[in-house]
Amino acid sequence: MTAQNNVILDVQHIGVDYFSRSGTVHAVSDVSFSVNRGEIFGLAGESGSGKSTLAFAVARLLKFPAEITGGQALFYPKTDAAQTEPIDILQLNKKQLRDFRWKKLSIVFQSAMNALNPVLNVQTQIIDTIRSHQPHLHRDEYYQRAVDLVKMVGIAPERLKSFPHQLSGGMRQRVVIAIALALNPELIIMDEPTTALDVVVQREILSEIQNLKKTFGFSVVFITHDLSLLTEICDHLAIMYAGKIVEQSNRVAIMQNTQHPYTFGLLHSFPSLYGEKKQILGIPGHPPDLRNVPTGCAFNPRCSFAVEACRSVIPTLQHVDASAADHLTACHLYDPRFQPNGPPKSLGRQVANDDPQAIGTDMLAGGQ
Amino acid sequence: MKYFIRRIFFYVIALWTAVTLNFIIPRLAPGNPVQTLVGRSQGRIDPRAISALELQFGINTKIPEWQQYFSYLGDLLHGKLGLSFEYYPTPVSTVIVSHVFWTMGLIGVASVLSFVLGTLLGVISAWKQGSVFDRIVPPALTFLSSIPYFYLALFFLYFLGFKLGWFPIIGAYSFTADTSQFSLSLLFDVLNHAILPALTIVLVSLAGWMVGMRNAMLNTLSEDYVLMAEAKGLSNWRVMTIYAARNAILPNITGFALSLGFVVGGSIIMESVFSYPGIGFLLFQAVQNSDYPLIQGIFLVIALSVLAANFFADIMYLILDPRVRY
Repeated sequence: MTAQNNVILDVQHIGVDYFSRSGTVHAVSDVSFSVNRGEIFGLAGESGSGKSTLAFAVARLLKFPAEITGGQALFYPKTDAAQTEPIDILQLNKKQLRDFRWKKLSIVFQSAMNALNPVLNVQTQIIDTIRSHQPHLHRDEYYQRAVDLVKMVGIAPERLKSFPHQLSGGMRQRVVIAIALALNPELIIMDEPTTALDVVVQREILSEIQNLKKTFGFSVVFITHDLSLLTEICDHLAIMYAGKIVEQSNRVAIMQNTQHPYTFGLLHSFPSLYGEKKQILGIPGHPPDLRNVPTGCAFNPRCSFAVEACRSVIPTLQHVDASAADHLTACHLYDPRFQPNGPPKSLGRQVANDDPQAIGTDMLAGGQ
Repeated sequence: MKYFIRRIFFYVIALWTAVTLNFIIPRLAPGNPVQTLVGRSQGRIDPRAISALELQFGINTKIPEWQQYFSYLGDLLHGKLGLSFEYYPTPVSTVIVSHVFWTMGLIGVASVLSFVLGTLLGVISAWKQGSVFDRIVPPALTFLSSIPYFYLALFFLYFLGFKLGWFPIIGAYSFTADTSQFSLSLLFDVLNHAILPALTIVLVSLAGWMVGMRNAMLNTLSEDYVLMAEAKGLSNWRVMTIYAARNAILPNITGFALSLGFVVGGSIIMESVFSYPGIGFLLFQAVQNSDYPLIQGIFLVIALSVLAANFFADIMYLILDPRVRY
């Protein structure tokens, strides 16, 4: 994939292994994706599908026993020059990395409960972030920046003196987002930023993120297991299973032209708030043990459409539909070699039965 | 503030309990101090002297117990702890004061040194988990601390003190030293005498602080806020100290403050091995000589210092952990 001008992050063939006594775990294998400037890119998948590991690999935050086994992550910083020189994140040395972190790429961690240091007040945690990158400002300037930041996320400046335990879950997540914005980064990785919150607060935080994105024009990599949420806020999304991307496209195509049986499963595993009752299909079985991934397609034991080839040949991401250039799917059901008659009809019928577009609007309506 | 008042209330109750127990327990023991004194003079004592002593010690006065209790409390408030038998007629308070200085100086400094050093080593060892340092230092120190203290102390005393003659083997200062006034040579003499006892104490207690700190630190290192601090681009030093160590040290602070409480009680074994004139040695002698007023006085001082140390721990926690400020 060539780096176009509007690409901010280009990840190529990244792999991450965890070393354990009972064998090496391929948590992420050969994953490629790219994020456009100013978009929200979604990464969805069940627990253990490798989505957080992938994000941490891109941020260079993995520690032993995790190791990046290959690939590259190119970051295209904003410049006025026509030709942007990408930053190869995985090749940065310690000093460059410390400089790169937060200034270009910041992270909102999975649980706001634990992402803030319990014995330091909010102000200290915001200011030390700024100070580490801009060490020569005046005290009052740091303070003013902190005030601006918390105001931006809808928190009263008096709260700067509060300690994390004095804030509600939603407020803590807002503080974490404020810290993520501290140095005006171009890309923010959000690792399940709303998972620990109730739906009302979740909704508030999401619209806050969207507003801030509009104001500052940063890009977001949004990680969650909640596909319904992603189909609402993302421009592009990728579905991960067992450390691989199995389907990747824009939001509308994922909903209206779902291709991978696993994506079907995810889309049909949450109830609709309106409309008639229907059966929630869900996905039978459990996520695979990554030390012992099924041969062929990792999803085959749980897939009701699996054919012989699914158990022996590993599927790769392919353009299934010639008309949709950005839609990639790794599934043999679309491979004429294994399915001469095209994908099974029953797969298509599900789409006809419950209009995925309706799912999206339901969720939007539900939040208001 | 409410927390503070609650704690103070607790300390008052605890202090009263300790003082009261200190009053009751000796009265439950068989015999009385005068009998002990008579026994020590092997009966060659005038009956009139006995009644004089009884009067002085307040024994067989037919005063009801509750009145004794209140006059005991009153005496305590005036710092009167009675007279020592062993050092008769020196008041117990004078005896204790003259010994407590040595103990607090030696064991206090050794404890602080051990805590600071152990915590530091623990922090480094956790930060560099799996490094050569982490693989060698904790087991080595744990090995040292698992040697019974008196063996280690005797070993040091025998080889470094007696065989090699590098260090003095007895007391807190030379017999020949002039202790009537302060001088540099006296200071060096005292320090020279303190090295071996302090070294042995530090060596055996170091591992405890180090392993405790290492484990707590490993726990905090896996916290999200440490990862986030790193991702924020903070310097390694700041992540290690303010984010990881600062949080990990909290449980150790309690342990340390409590251990300070036992400093005053002294180390009976250490002070016996090195014949160091501290409270521990004094208590040991007092027990051997059935010097009840002195034992009682020492117990009281120990109880007081343990309470004071607890109070200190509370205050430290209040300063270091905002979560208890309610």
